[in-house]
Amino acid sequence: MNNSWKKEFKNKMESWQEPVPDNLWADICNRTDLIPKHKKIPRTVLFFRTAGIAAACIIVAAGTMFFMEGRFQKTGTADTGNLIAETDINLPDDVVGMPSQEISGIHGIKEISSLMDIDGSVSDTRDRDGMHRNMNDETTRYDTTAAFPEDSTENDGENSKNEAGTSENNATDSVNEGNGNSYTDNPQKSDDRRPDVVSTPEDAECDLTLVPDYDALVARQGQRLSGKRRFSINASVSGTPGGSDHTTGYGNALPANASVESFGADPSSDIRLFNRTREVNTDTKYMQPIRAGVTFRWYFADRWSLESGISWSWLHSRTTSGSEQYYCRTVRNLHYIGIPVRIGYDFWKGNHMKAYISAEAMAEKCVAGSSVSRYIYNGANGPEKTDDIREKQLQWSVSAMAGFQYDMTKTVSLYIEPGASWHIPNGSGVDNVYKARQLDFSLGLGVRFSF
Amino acid sequence: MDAMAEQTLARKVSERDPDAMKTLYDRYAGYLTAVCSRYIDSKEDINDLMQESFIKIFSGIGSFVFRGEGSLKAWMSRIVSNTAIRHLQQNSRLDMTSLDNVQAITDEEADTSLSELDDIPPEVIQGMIKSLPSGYRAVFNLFVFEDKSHREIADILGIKENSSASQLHRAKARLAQQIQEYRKMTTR
Repeated sequence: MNNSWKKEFKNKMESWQEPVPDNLWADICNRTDLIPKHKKIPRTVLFFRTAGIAAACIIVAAGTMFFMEGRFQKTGTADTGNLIAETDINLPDDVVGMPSQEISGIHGIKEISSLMDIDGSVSDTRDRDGMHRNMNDETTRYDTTAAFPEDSTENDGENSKNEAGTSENNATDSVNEGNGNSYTDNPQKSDDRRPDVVSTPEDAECDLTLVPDYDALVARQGQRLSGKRRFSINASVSGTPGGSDHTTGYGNALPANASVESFGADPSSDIRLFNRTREVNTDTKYMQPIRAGVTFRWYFADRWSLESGISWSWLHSRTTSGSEQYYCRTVRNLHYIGIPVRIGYDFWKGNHMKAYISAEAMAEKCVAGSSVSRYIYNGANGPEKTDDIREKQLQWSVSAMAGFQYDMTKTVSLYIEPGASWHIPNGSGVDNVYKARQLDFSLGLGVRFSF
Repeated sequence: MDAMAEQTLARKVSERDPDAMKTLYDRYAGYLTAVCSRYIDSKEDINDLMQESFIKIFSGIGSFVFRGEGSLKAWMSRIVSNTAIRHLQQNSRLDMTSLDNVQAITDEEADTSLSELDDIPPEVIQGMIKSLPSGYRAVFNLFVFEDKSHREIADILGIKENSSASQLHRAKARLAQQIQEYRKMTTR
């Protein structure tokens, strides 16, 4: 039979199109979730975007706290930088050579002056160790006219007095906290001109004149206080790169017991039967695991710390197993709860920063897991099957990481921790990224609250 | 995106790229609607079957094997025609009643008429095909556009092989008659 007409007929109609039914695309979109509503955002981008938002929130919160703290301190402390800069004082021997920051400050200067007579002589006083010292000695003679120029004591009037009063009150509080001495300021001081003030021996005994490096002392006290922040709570998220795996055959993706008798009873067996004469491959894509946790850190030595807590990890993977015609698509989600134990060493400390290294061991237990398998028969959707995943074995891992911490405030710090982990094989049949990438790299971001 | 090759388009659709899905729809929906309407009369049925066909296409494109430019179009065309035929089978809508007023015409005469179509617009031919009873139309479409043998057509439609051949002959004769009538009308 000559079928050339058929070819002619077919070619004639090859490019013919008809109007598409109204709203067909909208109806298709409504009938299926196959068409994503938005473009898929890569998981890596999503992770760093989330981490960035979290970091921005923390920075804003910490910045607000920092700003509020700064304002409070500013309103409660007199600015004395200019005063000390313009004075010419014969300092005692133990103050000579001390950094200017340590001897600057209204407290020290005022209290020094408060013990001196108008001519600059001091009758009797003792050093901080309680030893009496003759203040008429040349090395301990102070020039009151330099410390209190006429301009500042007379022309400034009430302002100067108020500033002095405020500072003295601060000094009183600090000293009481610091060394336990009961220093009580004479109320007359704030009302009268300083040259008229005469110190009593009792005053001199606990007077700050004898602590010329008072600010340094306060600074050291502050350091000791911050040094006592031996504990911290850390909240962190971390991600490791995902990965992919390709194997010939089914691997662990489909059960191996396919038989003719079981045909129709189990879709996995059916796929194996359909593919008896076909090439079979298994491709798995492991998405980027996400980990979040809360840990508690304890400094048991100056630079050494122990840390432990609890962590949650989410592992997500997609597997396609079978031939091009008959295959199974499986989406697997695993949730692990882990207990890490970590030892850390701070190898560098700056003003607001520090760097450390850590070694960690962690045991993780799969607490929930599921796999959803869709079976495809010759291009058409077949049955769907959902299974729970249980893993009896613990997943052990060891990690090493380097961390960098930035102190936003005395209590709040941000840190970043790149590291490497090795997941010890546990003999489980559950496929996950821990088995696919036993040695993996991670990047952790977190916030640390010290107390 | 519109100039994207079939292979790239198929790959992107299999990756669930929504832009690629819309591109594929825009590029082929008209042609596939024409394929579907060669089998189906009702507009509502065409709408439903086109929805079903595109869902099958999007969900099953992972199994599509690229065999050269045009293979994607052919693969989708098969999905649409299979969906339409299954619909006809399930709804027992294959009208196999004999055609009235069909001139006695030999196969050779019919083939000659159907192979000289330069002066016949495709929409006219499409209209002629759609005017055939559904049973004859299904046999004709499967034989011409899907390249099925009479044995295969008989298996698909659940009819005898001889019936398939005779119905094809009658369908061709009817189309040839309509083409002649069209020519007479247009050459007056």
